[in-house]
Amino acid sequence: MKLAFFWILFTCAAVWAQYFFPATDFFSPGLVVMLQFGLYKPVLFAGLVWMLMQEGTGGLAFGTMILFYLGLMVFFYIGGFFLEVRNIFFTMFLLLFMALFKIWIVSAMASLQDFVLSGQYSFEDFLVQAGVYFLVWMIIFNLYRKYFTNEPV
Amino acid sequence: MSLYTWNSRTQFLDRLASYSGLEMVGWIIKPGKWVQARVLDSWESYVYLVEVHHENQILKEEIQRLRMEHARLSEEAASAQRLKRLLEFAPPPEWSRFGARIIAHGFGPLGTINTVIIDRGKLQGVLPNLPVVTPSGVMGRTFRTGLNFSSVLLLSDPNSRIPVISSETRVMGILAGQGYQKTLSLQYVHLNSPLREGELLVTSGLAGIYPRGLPVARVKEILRSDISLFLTVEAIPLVDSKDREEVLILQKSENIKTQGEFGVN
Repeated sequence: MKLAFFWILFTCAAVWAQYFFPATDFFSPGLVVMLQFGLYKPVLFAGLVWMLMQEGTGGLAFGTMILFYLGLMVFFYIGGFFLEVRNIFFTMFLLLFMALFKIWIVSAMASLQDFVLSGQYSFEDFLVQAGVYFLVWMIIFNLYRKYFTNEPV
Repeated sequence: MSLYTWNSRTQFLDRLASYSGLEMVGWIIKPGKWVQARVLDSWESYVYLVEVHHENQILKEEIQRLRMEHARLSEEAASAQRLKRLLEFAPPPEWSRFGARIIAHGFGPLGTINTVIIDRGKLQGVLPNLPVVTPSGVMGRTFRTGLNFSSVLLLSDPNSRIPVISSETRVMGILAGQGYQKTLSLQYVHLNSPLREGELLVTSGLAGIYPRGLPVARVKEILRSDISLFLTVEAIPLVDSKDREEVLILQKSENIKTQGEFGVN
């Protein structure tokens, strides 16, 4: 119950954060934290809900977020073979990859659907997205560790 | 691949995402916006001079109504002579309007096109491709509709195209967006056109989405190109979506399903 409340609160906070920072993703670090702590059932449920939210409010036809989350999972599990998944360097690589992958997948899907992008994807946007990912991950990771595990923060 | 093909044919997943995702986000944002609006209302009503502010609000609403009326009548007056010469023309369909509140701009990582989210959806009679206007002019058209929320494609988006006509010289063209906070581009205006800088561009009504005569933009600059058959025309949109909180949705009367409490005129 407490765990569900935690993720509902995170969802509401992420929606409001996306309201204040258009075209920026705040949800994915939540998925990363769930994967890092082995919360596989919540990953499926939250992934589905967040995917519907992102797809429903976006301008593209359905499917971009499926590919994005699949890419995240693939990178996470491949990286997990070589590195400890809660390691900060692994997480930084993962989040940088996601910031880059987001731009690529959205641009690719937009061009496949004959959409012209407004040109909002610059290097600065990549840096902002990567920074947001890392900041949100740090907050969520430490909150989860403090309230749901016995590990010291 | 099968999933994508199936969805592209049935659009089932698109509808599912619009009905569920748009709704969830809308219902999370709406209470906060409501609280924000109440706080601002209270501040404005009680801290400032109540009487003067109230009167100011009434006058502003009156000005907005008169501006819309003026734009419509100007266009009607300009076209009256031409219409007189036409013996058989179909009377334009009646358009009604109802209000909506903007609750978010360009939401989420997939907000790659310039959109805003409004708090009216299918249950209130909003369908895709309905004109969205303000008293100053056209802002865009409805793009995706959820049950209680919809997204609006703005004029500034590069995917937006509107057939327009200049109000004085009657030059036709297609007005296309060039990105957020950028000017609009009037396309396919041939080199000999008498178009003038500063002229008002209004909807021509040709695409069937917008009624004719709605003000859209003002011509800012006309450049003659040596290599193109057309003029390069830049126009400034009359509506800045950044400053807007409320919009009007226009609807042909025969399409109205639910008028509800929104005071259709």
